[in-house]
This record gives sequence, structure tokens and C-alpha cells, in this order.
Amino acid sequence: MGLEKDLYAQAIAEHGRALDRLAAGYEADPDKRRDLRQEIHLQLWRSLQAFDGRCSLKTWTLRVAHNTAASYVIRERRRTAELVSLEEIESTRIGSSQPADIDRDNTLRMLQEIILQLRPLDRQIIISYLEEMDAASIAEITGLSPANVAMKIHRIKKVLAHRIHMEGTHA
Amino acid sequence: MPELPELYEVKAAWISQCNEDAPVDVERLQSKRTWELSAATRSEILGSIVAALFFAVVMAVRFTPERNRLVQAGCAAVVLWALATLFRYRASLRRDRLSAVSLARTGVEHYRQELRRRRDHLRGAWIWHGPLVLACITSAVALSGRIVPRRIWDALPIMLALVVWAGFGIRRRFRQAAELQKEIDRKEDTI
Repeated sequence: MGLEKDLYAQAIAEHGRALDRLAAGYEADPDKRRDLRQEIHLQLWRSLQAFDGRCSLKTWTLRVAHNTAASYVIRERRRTAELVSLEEIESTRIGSSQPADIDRDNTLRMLQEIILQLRPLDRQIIISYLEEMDAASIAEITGLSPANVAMKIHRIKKVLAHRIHMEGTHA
Repeated sequence: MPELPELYEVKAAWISQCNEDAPVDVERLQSKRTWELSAATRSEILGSIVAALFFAVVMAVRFTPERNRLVQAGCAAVVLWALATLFRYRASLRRDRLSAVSLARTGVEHYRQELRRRRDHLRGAWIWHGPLVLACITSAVALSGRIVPRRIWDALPIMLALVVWAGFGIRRRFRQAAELQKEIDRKEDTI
């Protein structure tokens, strides 16, 4: 019990803010997001009983958090029916462009709009990418091959660059 | 595949977003959550079983003097089905609780497992609705027989409504299960 409490405290100290941002990527409503955040903390605390050190605490923490959030999205099935893949978002892109300068609030709003449309697995990748994780680390969390992750990151960059350009031209 | 530039501004906007400040008391949360989950599942399943047993008891009490074999067999079947449901409920209660290890699977494996779990739950809908449907059918058959032939017209609308409601519910669940199966198959193809 003492060990898992220490591990939990360490995980929250090191990755607590990342978990908050992760919850924001899975739920837009502030009240529901608070519940999801609590659920993530609860499942992380429970899971640490089985932490065996075969992966880093960071990988373990993010896996548990993403999996808990993915289960939440599946439970909210009515909304899941409207979710799309990265490939589908990319196929609606018009042309290709470089990012334009827009403010952070607009960028964040645009990011959340895109993320909340995505299916859970694609959300894991885009959120991990935004958290400055490399393809190998994302592959370790998701279970996809690094090549597959790299391809998806390429798509993410294209989609985000295009959306930012659109926001910039409309601003 | 040409390498695209990193989107540092976008990442900075994501990282610098406002965070929640409210502390999380996980121990209190865990006991509350466990109680809520357990209570919700128990009430859903027991509600169905109690309704079926109520039907069976009413049938048995009302038709006992006639010693109608059909009614007796129907009531026995309802009771047996309810017991089987209870047995299954006890087993699935243990399985439904996410184990610590299962939460540390890779994202793909966990997502697939969750989809399967949900699919199996939806496919198992018959066992929750089954006793009630069986009780309705038994009542309808008994009432339409020689015992009280005129009562069937009084009871028919509500019985039909119950059967149709249960039928639609089961069909909807099976359709959702089929959609989940398609998603599971797609996931198998892409990994």
C-alpha cells in the first residue's frame, strides 16, 4: 500500500499536468471532464498495485490514463458514433499550406475541436504528439508499430498546419 | 514521405492551457465509485428478475386451484431462468471489475478488449430480458387457453407492449453488438 502511494505521488508530481490536458482531449464539458479526471486518477492509483517496472512510470501512467479515457469514450457510445479517423479528417483537407500566425487561444480551441472529433486511438497519438513524445514512446503506449505512428504523426502535422492556415486567413 | 516541420507554436498552446486545480482524493473516490458501479449493475439486473418473479408468483397464485400444468411449467422455467441469470450475474460481476493489470495493456489491446467486453454484454441482453419475456409468453398462453379465455383480451395489450418493447430492446442491442464487431474487425486489419 505504501509503495503504490509513493508511486502515485511520484506519477502525479511528474505527469499530473499532462493528465489534466489529456482529460481535456477526451471531454469538452467542464463538469464531465472533472469526473473523467477523477476517474483517471482513481484507475491510476488502483493500477499501481501491479506496476512491475517493466516499462517506465511515465509510459505506465499515460497508458492507464489513455485507456481509462478510451473506455469513457466507448461508454458514451452515442457520441462515439460520430467520431472519425485522422485519415478521414485529412481527406477533407483542401490544398496544402504552411502555418500562419494566430493567437494561442484560437490555436487551442482549434486543437480541441479536432481532437474531440477523433476516435480514441487517434486521440492517443495526437495528444502524445502534442505532449512532445517521440514516435517510439507513442508506439510503446499505443501498441502500434513506430512506422505506423510516424505515418500518423505526418498526417497530424498536415491536418494541423492546414487548419491553422484556415484560422489565420479567417482571423 | 517528406519530413514536415515541427509545429512548436501548436504544441506550446497545448502545453500552456489552463489546468484543473481541484485536488483528487482517490481513496474516497474509489469507495464511492465501487459502490455506485455495484449498485447500478445490481439494480439493473435485479429489477428485471424481480419483475419476472412477480409475474410468475401472480400466475402461480392465481392459477394454483386449476393445477394447470402449463402455468406450473412456465413458472418453473421463469424461476430457473432467473436463477441462471443470478448465477451469471455473480460471475460477470467479478469479470466486469477492471483489473489493475488490464489497465496497463497497450492502447490497441485495451481498446479491443473494451470493445469485446461491451459487445459480449450487448449480446448477453437476452439473459437479462429473458425471464420477463418468458413470463409474458407463459401468461399469454395460459390466459388464452381453457382457464380464463376471456381474460386474454384484457391482458393482451399490455403483454404485447411488453413483448414488443423487449423485442426492440434486444434487437437494438444486437445491432449495436454487430457494429462493435465491425469495428473490432477493422482494428484487427489495421494492426
